[in-house]
Amino acid sequence: MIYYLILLIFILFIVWWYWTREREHERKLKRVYQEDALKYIFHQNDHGHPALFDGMKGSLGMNGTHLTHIINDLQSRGLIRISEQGMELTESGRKLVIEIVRAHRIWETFLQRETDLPLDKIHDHADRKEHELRGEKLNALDAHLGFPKIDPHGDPIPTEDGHVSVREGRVLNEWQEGQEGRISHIEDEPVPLARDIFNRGFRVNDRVKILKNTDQGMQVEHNDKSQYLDALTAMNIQLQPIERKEVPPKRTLNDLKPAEQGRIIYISERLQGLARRRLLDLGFTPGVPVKKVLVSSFGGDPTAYEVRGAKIALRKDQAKYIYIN
Amino acid sequence: MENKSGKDLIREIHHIRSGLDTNFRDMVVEDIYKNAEQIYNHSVKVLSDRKYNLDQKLDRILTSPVWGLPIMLLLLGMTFWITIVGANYPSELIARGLFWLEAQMALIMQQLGSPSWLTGFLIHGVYKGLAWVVSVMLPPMAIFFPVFTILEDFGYLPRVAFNMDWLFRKAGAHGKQALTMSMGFGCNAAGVIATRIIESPRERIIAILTNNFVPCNGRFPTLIMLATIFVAAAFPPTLASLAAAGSVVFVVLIGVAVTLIVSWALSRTILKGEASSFTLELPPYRKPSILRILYTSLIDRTLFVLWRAIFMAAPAGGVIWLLANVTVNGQTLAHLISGFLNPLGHVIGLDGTILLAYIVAIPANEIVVPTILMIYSHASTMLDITQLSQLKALLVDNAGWTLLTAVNLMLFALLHNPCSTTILTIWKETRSMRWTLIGAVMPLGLAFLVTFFVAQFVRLVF
Repeated sequence: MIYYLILLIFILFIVWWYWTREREHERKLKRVYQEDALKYIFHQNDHGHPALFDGMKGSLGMNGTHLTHIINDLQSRGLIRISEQGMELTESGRKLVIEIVRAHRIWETFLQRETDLPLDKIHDHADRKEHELRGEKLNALDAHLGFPKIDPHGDPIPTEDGHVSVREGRVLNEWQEGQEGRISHIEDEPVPLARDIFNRGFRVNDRVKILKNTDQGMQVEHNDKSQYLDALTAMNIQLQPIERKEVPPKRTLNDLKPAEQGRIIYISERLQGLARRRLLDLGFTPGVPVKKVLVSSFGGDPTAYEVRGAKIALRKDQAKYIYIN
Repeated sequence: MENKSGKDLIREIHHIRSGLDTNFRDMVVEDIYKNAEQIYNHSVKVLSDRKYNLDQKLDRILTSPVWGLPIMLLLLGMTFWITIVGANYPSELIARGLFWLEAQMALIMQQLGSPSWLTGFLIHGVYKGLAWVVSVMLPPMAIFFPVFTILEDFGYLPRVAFNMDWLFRKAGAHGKQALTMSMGFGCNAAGVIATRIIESPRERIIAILTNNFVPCNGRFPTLIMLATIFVAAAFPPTLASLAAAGSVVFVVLIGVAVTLIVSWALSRTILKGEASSFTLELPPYRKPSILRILYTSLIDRTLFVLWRAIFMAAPAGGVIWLLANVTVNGQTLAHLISGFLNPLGHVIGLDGTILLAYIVAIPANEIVVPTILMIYSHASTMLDITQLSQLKALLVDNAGWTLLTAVNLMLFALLHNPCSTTILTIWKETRSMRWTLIGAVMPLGLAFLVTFFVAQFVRLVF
């Protein structure tokens, strides 16, 4: 008898908890819809034409009445202007959208650097977070990250005063055989393509050399590996010319032999956030000599290096990001 | 505050910033190091390499494929052995003293005319719980922590982390977890605090949440008692003590295995996105400094943990006394509640009394066994039975314990939720409701699951 009573109270509690969560969720959802609508209008305006009701309906996947409500709300808040051609953002609407975009891109940068989330997941996370992150918090995060200029996809991050710099680069398909460039942008949608690109190791700022370019696809050299990209995938990657003609270093800490000494050239851009800060704090800075002094007897990982008179053990998967000569 | 020059300054900052390289932080660090280097070159002179070469030799021995593990097992094993053996006598002494005081205080209260329920609650309840925890907990900790700190001060412990990292890497954890686990043998709360040495957030949370799976000083006596009565009894007398020790070691190994499995699962599920990095400093070997050892181990660790435990154990002592002395319809509360819990206890191969003891002993696991004995023997205060035959008679003949009860109690003692001191420490270290809750509930769920399957399996097969 008393067991049933306890069970009943437990179930009631779960139901109540779920209900309050749902209501909270609904409130948030309204704001999300409004801001997504603003973003759509922004992108249409950016391409040089006003946004149309039907296009918006299809893109946001809403029914007509719901969308009408949202548009009316936005208009009464003075964020959009409606004319016979369609919808346009007002100055304050534009400012709001740029802040949302800023939040989205800063959050993506944060997730890439400070967490271990797979890169194809961070776009979805940022799509949710962009509606919450504002003002002081956003600026503090920006400062914490060292005022990054581009997000993991290569998109420019708007500054606090709303300035958006222009992205440079041409899609991969337009490059000639034998040319070499640096990845400036990886399109975040469609998600499956972005996932494929990230999973195959391509990152913004990586060097890519075009080996072959046909209508169906292209063969490129990336990190000493030859990869085939079909034409559609290649269209989601943009390259920009390499300014400095430096030769990329090949050797990392992992290539040191026992008791051998090397000099650090730099730590790869791939290693960001906590891991990078730790290494720098411990003295793994460019120009410093590093000696391999102790290798684990159990599988050779971790390995201890002597740097600036201290013995620091690193695992192979971090040592591979430290380039030496 | 805003004026024109301030605005100009900010504009200039923005302007400069937009021209900076993305990794200008790297440059700042580089510059700081360059400065330090200049100062170093200017003022430090290295006279001899002797110390350095000696360190290299020691490193090679302590991390060698042949000697690395045996030396580690020897040193850690010795630490535990010294703790268990060395704590026995002082424990008894403190217990005798404190319990003598209990009798005296009860006598004085009686003469002052205090009603027996007040004397019972305050002296035989609150004070006794406190005295019990102090006498069981203080000596092992006062021995374990200084010995452990010697290893730490000498610089040996980081080498253990270095040697064991391959195992923890496979489980998605940090090699330093080997150290926080060792610390957990002394006290899980201290083990949780020790996870501060792990700088990577994901691995640190893993170490915090799994620290409970190494049995602490407070749980060792339970394991030893069960091993002696139930496991050792099944062997001939010459092998009995070996079998008892072996089964305790086996339980500890199960704990280590569970730690690795749970670490592996955590790093691949709820902790998947957390940041992770591995760096391990191997400091030069140093001659341990006795004063510092005594300070860090006694003040920082022992007293700190003891104080929190006392704070928690005193109310528990009161509750236990009430359970044994408040009667409803001629039955004590303890018997009513354990009767109510009996069906649940039976499902996992234990009984209601054991579960009740574990509920009241959330503040301090040391009082589990005394509480169980109190309820079984219808006593009015917690008691200790030192005569093994007597103990066996009570548990087996009276309470109907079987080998299954003993095995499942060992498993339950190993896996169940951490004590409230540890839970509080998890909260203080993580400041997160979520991790605290998971740290408390996950082990409890695991304990129920494992004991349930063992009980069902045994009942089905035998």
